[in-house]
Formats: sequence, C-alpha cells, structure tokens
Amino acid sequence: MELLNRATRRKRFVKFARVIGNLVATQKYRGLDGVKFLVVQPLNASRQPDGEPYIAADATGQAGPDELVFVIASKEAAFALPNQFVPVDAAVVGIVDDVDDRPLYDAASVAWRVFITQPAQPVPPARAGRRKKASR
Amino acid sequence: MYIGRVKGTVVSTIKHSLFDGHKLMLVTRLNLDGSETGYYDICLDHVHAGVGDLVLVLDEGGSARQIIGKRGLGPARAVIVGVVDRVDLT
Repeated sequence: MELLNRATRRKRFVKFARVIGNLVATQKYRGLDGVKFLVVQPLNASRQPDGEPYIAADATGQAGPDELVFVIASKEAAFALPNQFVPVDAAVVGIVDDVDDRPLYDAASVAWRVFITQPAQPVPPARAGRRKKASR
Repeated sequence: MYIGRVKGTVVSTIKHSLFDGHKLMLVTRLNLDGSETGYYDICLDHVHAGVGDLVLVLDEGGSARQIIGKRGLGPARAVIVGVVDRVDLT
C-alpha cells in the first residue's frame, strides 16, 4: 500500500485547474515564441483548490482568467504545443464546459425519479359526448 | 496502471485536436482495499466505461497514443483500458 501511495505522489497527471493569472516573458526559449503562459491553481476532483499554483503553457490558445481547464503534465505537455520539442512540463489542453459527477441514484438529481414521484394529476371529467340527433 | 472508479464525465468543447471524438472521464484512483487515495485523473475512454464502473487505467504517454491510434506525438496520457470484473488478492 505504501508503494502505491508513493507512486501516486509523482507529478504525472491530467488534472483540473483554475486559471488565476497569466505570465509574460519576452526573453524565452526560441521554440516557445507565440506560446501563452498561465498561472494555474491545481484543483482536486471536486474542483476545490489543492496544492500550490504553478505555471502552465496554454495549448488551447483561448484559456482566460477564472476559467476551469484541464492540464497535462510531464513530456506530453510539450507534445501539445506547436513546436513539440520545447522545455515545458505542464500545458493547458482543454477548457472544461461541464463535469457531470452527480452521485448515481440520488433522488434529487435523477429526473426520471422525480417524474415518477409526482402525484398523479386528477383526471378531468370526461366531456359529455355530443348528443346525437334523434333519428327520424 | 492502476485501478480506479469512474466518478463522472467531463465535457469540453475547446480542446486539443487529439481528444476529438473521445469521451473524457473523471477517474479517482483506488487503494487495493477499494478505498479512495484522493488522487484522480481525467482519462480518455477506450472501452465504453460508465459512471460508477471499476476500471483499469493506463497512465503512460507512449502506450496511450498507440491505443487511441493517432500517429505522431500528442498530449495523451491517461486512458481507460479495461473494465474490472474482479480482483483476487492472495
């Protein structure tokens, strides 16, 4: 178990993060020209802040402040950028629209369950049929 | 590779083109006794896993790219490669 816990501590991951700022560097490695850098706050699975903020390159090119993004670390981060052999260890690879992690079978979150527990609508009284004309 | 539990789905429109057409799942890592470690990954889904499933997650870039069948280099890392039926510990 200790071995497994040690393995989980390494900094190789695909994780949620919140963009909390950007970083401007004029002098940088030549292959990084045109790449935006963001200051991101890593989040845990329930999107609460977890750990120290760090700098990630922006591979989407469109992430802005306060946005929920997902970040890839290690060598794959550089693969996300236009020039794939650059010194980068974290990159924003997507902007999260929605995370659906509602618990299963929770009555409050399952629409059909709510639908089933709705009280039955009172049946409107049947309209009296049009009276037939008396045949002659 | 590790055993995880699928906790939910992640929806993203603006993303790297490598992720196009793939489901993204939020997977928490489990200890061998089934308790949660508190670590998680956003994984590409290769086996049509559902929310609540116990899954086998591959967490290595080269193998991930090989599995999703994209040539060249790309930011793939964590991939769900199996739905676990049973784990026997001796």
